[in-house]
Amino acid sequence: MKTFFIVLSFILAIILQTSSIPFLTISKISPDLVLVLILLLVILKKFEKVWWIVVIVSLLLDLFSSLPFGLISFSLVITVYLIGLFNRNMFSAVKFWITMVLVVLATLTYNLVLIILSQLFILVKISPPVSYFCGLSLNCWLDFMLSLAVATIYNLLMAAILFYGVKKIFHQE
Amino acid sequence: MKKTVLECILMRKILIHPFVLSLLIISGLVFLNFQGWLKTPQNIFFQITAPGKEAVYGFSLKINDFVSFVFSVNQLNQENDQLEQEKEELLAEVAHLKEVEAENEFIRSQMGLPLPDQKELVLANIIGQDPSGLSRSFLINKGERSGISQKAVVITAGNILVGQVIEVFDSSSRIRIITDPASRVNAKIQQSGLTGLIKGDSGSNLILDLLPQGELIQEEEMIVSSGLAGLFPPGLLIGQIQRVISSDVGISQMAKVKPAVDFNSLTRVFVIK
Repeated sequence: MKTFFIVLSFILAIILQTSSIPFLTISKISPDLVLVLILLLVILKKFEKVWWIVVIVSLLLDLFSSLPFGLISFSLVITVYLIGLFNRNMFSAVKFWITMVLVVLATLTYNLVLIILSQLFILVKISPPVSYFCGLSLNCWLDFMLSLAVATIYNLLMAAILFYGVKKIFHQE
Repeated sequence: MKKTVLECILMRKILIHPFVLSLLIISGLVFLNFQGWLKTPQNIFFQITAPGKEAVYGFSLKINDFVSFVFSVNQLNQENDQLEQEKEELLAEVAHLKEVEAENEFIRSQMGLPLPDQKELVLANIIGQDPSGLSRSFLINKGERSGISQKAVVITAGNILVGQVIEVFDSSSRIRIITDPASRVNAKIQQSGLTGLIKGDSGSNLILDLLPQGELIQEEEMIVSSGLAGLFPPGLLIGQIQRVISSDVGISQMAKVKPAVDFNSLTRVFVIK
């Protein structure tokens, strides 16, 4: 029954992420509901137990994106695995402030992995040579840093709103 | 012998680790997609999700409109006056253009030239947007069955350029909008005829690049597609120049362009067949 609720909440999250959430965009950035939910799931349960949900959800996101297929999946799986590992080795309990720290780390890691992998995809010719990476342009870097800051704050807000509700649904008995 | 068995066990342990397994599954699917073997599951998936997404997208748009209305209620009077004035100017321009059109048709018929082809348009609803922050694309509810093909040009009412179809499924298509970093449109400044290249900006604006150095470019000039390279028909409205970025050391000039379309309130588009 719990798995059913988890899957249902992710289906809803994907639909919202691709239809409603783009309307919350500030300077090209909108909150990443799916990243926050997957992260909360991996914090509350182990990655080893929910890896299949992470893979399916990230692949579905890939289907809706115009980015090269697999880019979002790889980035999400790598990010949540690393953050889950860090959480298990550093913290023993699931607390609100710890979760907020992990959300900040996850947002930064996800964007970093996404950019590195997008370059790698171009290198191995999986995607056309469209660089989302700034290169040496200072203005572009400043824009990127600002976007990252906005994305982090947005995701923090989203996590803070969802934390207790999600804990009730996702937490292990 | 013992070492080989140990190696085998270790290898198996690594391969069945959920993280490695996840990466292997995704890699496998990337390979299948690269070969074009995921088209059918993708078609089925989009067919199943399209109605739900369309409803949620429409509902979200209504909420967005309502919130925008609440926040802008103070400016409505001022905006109304401005729009009234613009409407009068545009009505005068339409009357003038109709006269020019009639004159043009008459001259064409006198000279025996064919009239320009009427474009066949397909009306489509937007049902979703790109979930990643990196690229800018829309999903629409019309696909191959409605005669839409890859690279078809997408416009909105008033001959305003929206983007181009980059992926076609049975009953849906993906449009890359002009603000996407991968989008490139040959364009020209309507008044002066100077040509350049429209690219997506890091914000929600556009950049008009490769404008010749030394030419005078003014703010608020209109940008339209030039039709060069044959990808986009000429004369589609793209936007208006906001700021000119020029330096003595550069070989060309750039300009920031405000798109004519408000992509956040767009619900319907036309695909040129």
